[in-house]
Amino acid sequence: MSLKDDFFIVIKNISHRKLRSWLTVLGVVIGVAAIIALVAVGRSLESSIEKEFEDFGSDKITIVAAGGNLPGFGTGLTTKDVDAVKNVKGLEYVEGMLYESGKATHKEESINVFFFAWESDNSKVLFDDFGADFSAGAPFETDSNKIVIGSRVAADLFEKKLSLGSKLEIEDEKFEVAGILEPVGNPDDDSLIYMPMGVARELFDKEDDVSFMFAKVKPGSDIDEIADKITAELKKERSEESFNVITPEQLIEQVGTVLGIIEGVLVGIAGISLIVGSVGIAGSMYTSVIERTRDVGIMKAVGATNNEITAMFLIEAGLMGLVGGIIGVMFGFLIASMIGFAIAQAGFTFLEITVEPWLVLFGLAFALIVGMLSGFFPARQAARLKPVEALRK
Amino acid sequence: MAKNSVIRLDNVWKTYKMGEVDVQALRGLSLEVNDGEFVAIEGPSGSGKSTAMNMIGALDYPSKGSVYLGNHDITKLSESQLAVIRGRKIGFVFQQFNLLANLSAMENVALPMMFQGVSPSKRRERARNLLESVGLGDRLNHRPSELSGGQQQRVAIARALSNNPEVILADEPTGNIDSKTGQAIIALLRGMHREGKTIIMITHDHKLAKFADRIELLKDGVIVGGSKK
Repeated sequence: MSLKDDFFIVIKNISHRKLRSWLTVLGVVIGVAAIIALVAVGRSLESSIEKEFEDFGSDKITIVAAGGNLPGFGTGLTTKDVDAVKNVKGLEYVEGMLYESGKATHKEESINVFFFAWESDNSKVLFDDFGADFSAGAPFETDSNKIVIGSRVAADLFEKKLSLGSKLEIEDEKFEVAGILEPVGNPDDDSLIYMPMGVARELFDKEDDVSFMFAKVKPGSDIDEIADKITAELKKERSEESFNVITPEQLIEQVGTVLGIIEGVLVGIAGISLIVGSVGIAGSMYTSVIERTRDVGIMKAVGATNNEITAMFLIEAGLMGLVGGIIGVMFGFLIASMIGFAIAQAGFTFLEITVEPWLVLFGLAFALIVGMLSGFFPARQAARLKPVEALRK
Repeated sequence: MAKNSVIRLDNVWKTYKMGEVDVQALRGLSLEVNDGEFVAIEGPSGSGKSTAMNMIGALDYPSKGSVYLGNHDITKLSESQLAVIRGRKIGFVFQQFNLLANLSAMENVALPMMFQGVSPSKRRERARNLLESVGLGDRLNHRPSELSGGQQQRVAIARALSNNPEVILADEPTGNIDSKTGQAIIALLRGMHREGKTIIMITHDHKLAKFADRIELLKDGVIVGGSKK
């Protein structure tokens, strides 16, 4: 009996009970689609975030107050700490940043926005180092009421769009838009308003507060060594528990750990659905063996060997698995793309969804193996049927 | 032995366990069928007919005694070896036709050849010829459910012939069809016999058994007599 003959018989059997075959296949489709979609989104998220960090550069150090390690969390740093860090050799600069929220009014429409303030004399370099490109205008360079706005502030946040020279009231003081940034692909960053530090200190009544510090190391310096020096310098002023010095590598590591956990959970969920799918195949195959006991008896009577019967059932299960895998991969790709589209609609345009070839191969191989494994025991049971007993059914 | 023995049963016993009780379906059955004979094994229900059929058809192993298929002792063969030999040497015609419902008439007839590794084109050609020879040339692609009982049994006969076996083993071949169609089936079997096939027919019906050259009477799992034309 050739493989072609096996397939002939198998396809006859599968198509004889179309609905049940499709339902069985559906179990695998759901499992594989879930795995493909979840892993693709997880991996894409990971690589997009890594790319963001790469763009950001590996020569930047962030210093935050304890209680959080992302900018804007925790308080307690002051301009005195910034001055202390300035003593560390090997730094190109260190800047104290202020992160505040407040009311902005444009043509009688008021909304709450977040503000970012830094020293006006280093402003150009900071915009550069933050990876912010200007679509119009230029950075502020003096402590005047000139602001730079993110792309969403200009286009989306207010009913009436803002352009270069637009007037804006912030906390009851008048400001003028001096620059508009290109989108960076993250709705939070694109909704920021940047202003000179001197102006912000008065406006928000923050005499010497610093939300976080941002430092750039000189080319050729060892960033970890400098991070240690910063820690040593700050320890002179305050306790070690009250601040964190964060290098990009640490951030990537932390983000990577979180993403790893998320991905693990997603794959776990997908794995469970695949197990359910394989139980479906096994169940369907067992039913099929019972239903076809007589057929097995007939085939044995007319000369089928045990191995030929085993092969038939194994191929049947494997084929259902593989078909489920192929459809599952396609659905998974579709779902991943839809998730990517939805995320992009929400403003996170930096996320690029890609389904890597290994993932597709893995999905197909997994489906085939799951199918054949679930078919193994039913197949053996079918092969062991005695022709006499099988024919009596 | 003047003629070649095709099937020989030597003091065959078969015991089934039915719960706690051992049922002896065959008690020392001996039988020899020679090449080219038409033998009927006749017996009432419960006489061990079906068990005898399983032994003659090499569908099961005896509990005691030997069964020879040509010169193969089937008790010495594995299940798979037995399957191959069975497929080549014996053509079955069952009371319930036993066709595969998913397959067309032609595919059913071709099935035993598939297990013998005959090429697809040869299978198709031979299946068509066989179906034409049993008068079903216009029903090649019909499924069993689209055929009458008599037609299904003719498909089964064509299938029994497909590997050109030495023996046709027919178990109550007219049991599930009306008497007029039954006569046509018997005529087919007789025709095959005239062409040199060995036919063994198992039946409870003496009128049917009389078509054979030799009748062996089975009772309580053993041959109790017989007659020859």
